[in-house]
Amino acid sequence: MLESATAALALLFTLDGVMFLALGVVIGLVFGVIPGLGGTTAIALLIPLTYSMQSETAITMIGGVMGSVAFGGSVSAILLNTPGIAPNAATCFDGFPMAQQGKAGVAIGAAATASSLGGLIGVAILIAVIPVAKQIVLLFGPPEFFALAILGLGAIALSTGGKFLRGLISGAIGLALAFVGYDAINGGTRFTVDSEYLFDGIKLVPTLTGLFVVAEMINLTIKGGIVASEGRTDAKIARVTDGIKAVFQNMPTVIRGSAIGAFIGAIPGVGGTVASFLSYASTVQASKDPESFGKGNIKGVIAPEAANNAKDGGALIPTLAFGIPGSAEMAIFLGVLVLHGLEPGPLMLIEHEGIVFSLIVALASAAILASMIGLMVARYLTLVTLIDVHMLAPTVIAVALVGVFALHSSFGDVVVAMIFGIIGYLMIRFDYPRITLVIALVLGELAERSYHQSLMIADGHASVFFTRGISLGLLLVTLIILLIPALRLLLRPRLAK
Amino acid sequence: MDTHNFNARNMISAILLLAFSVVFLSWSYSYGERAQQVPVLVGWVMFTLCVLDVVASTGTRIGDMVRAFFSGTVIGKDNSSAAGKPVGRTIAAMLWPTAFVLMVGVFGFMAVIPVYVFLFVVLQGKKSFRQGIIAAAVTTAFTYVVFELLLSYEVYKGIVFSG
Repeated sequence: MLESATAALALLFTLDGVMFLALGVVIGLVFGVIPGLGGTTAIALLIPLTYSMQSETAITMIGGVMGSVAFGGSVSAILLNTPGIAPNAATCFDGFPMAQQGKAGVAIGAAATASSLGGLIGVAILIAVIPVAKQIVLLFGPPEFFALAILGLGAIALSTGGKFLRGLISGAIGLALAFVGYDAINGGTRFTVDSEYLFDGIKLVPTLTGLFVVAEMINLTIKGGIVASEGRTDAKIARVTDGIKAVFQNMPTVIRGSAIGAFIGAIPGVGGTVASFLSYASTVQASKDPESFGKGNIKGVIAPEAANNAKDGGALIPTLAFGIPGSAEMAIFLGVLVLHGLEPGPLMLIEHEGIVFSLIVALASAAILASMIGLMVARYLTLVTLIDVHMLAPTVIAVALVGVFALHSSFGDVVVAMIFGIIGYLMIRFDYPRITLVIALVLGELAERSYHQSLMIADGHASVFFTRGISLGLLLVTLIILLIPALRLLLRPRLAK
Repeated sequence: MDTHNFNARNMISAILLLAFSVVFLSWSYSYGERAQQVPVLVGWVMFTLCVLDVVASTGTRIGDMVRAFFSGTVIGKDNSSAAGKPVGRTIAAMLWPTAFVLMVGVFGFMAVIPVYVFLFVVLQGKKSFRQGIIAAAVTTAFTYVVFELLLSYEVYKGIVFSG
């Protein structure tokens, strides 16, 4: 483990390593600042650019994006009252009032420092968990992986809130799409309409680009105007050091927020928004002066920002160890790994420890670098949100589709990205969550393969899923998850009383 | 019949997905015994969920119960984002990138990008010719420098220019 960590550090401190990390950080900050884009879009756009890179360099750049998006989003949350990404919404509560009181610099300084510390604590938790995760992974056989894939889908559908039913439908569609192409278990092809292009299945990168880049641009085009329409882009960013000092004076808030972020991040489907709000709520509850929150209390900025950055370390645990992405961003990151010939899952931690540590080092460095760069350019970053969407949309669509073509020199990929762009927009419009479709598409093959392998082990008896402790436990948790909305409905009158 | 939550657009999307699930299910049955096993299972789950979605979209008491069961809340007014978006603008927004892809298929990226960006900015965005030219030039130059020069990718040339 130490060797891998040293090798990853040595790679980072090369010219290429530093350059691509900084590039990733800048791109992450810009995409974080622009509401509606975020890390998912940024990574989807960058995937083609990583194709010709070494795996470690590509992972370093993507790590830079992941480590910086959250801070970028906090800048627009504080200055514009518009969260760059959903988890930054909790930062608006106290960040924007601070900006209105002329303390924008203090709030941004606090957000930057809390993000850095949160990111570092999240990474430390990831490093601590890796040896344990290796042992747990060895306990998993095909029935457990099948049960885990089903649990992942159920948890992610639940995380879509009031759209649970439609989340499940999107998941089923994603699974259906995962069956397209060559069937590695049984031989032959399925659902290909005799198209040679579809023999390889629905490719992940064009699908993701369509669902998250083209669809968002269509949505922005329909909305029109500029990206952010409220708040102040001329706010003075001064007294940043006061914000930095305030974070070190409130270390319990940072540690509590980071622990919540890393724990929540590790649960598939729950994600950064829940982590930030939970961290914010726990800080309010623990405060001696809860009334001051929502009016510009600096702890209200520190708590969600620490959780928001720490969640990445936690989210990487199921992604790397089990190949179960817990969020759209992690699903796309899985796409990057697959593109570079790395298969996330049980063997990833054992056979590609070097890659895992490249990512860890990149995430940790990005957490610090993002804050340093972000503090220098915060005021200018918000100007990005003044770009008219009619200038942004055609440019982003053109560059994204060129990138999709460049991957395999296939015009079919461009057509697929376009089709999924329209499907993605229709899903936004009719309230069908896209995240469950993507995660089901990623998990489909794992689920089917594990299902058949399990039946082979048990001579065709489906009881194998219920006679092994871990598998049974995971299926029971899935059942509970599926019943949560109904239970909530039944308990509501009692809770109200 | 209480239909205060009935939303025609929601109903149409639910029915279309139900039709998709039926097609997928019957298609799944056309494969061998082992190859169809998981797709058939997924097909039936999808079909059941889509039926529930159609029922939930009816706005009847049963529909509201289904929605409440899956959302975990008592159902109020339908606030689906499908409402209030102008259809003309929506179709135009989807046609622009579709036309772009079709034109790229014929003439290739480098020929189509400047024209597409310029026309989009001027016609859809109602910006000045100058802004259109700047956006088109920046996008084309970025694509050329990043993909052709720095990454040495061969950008698609289209049917006409492929020779």
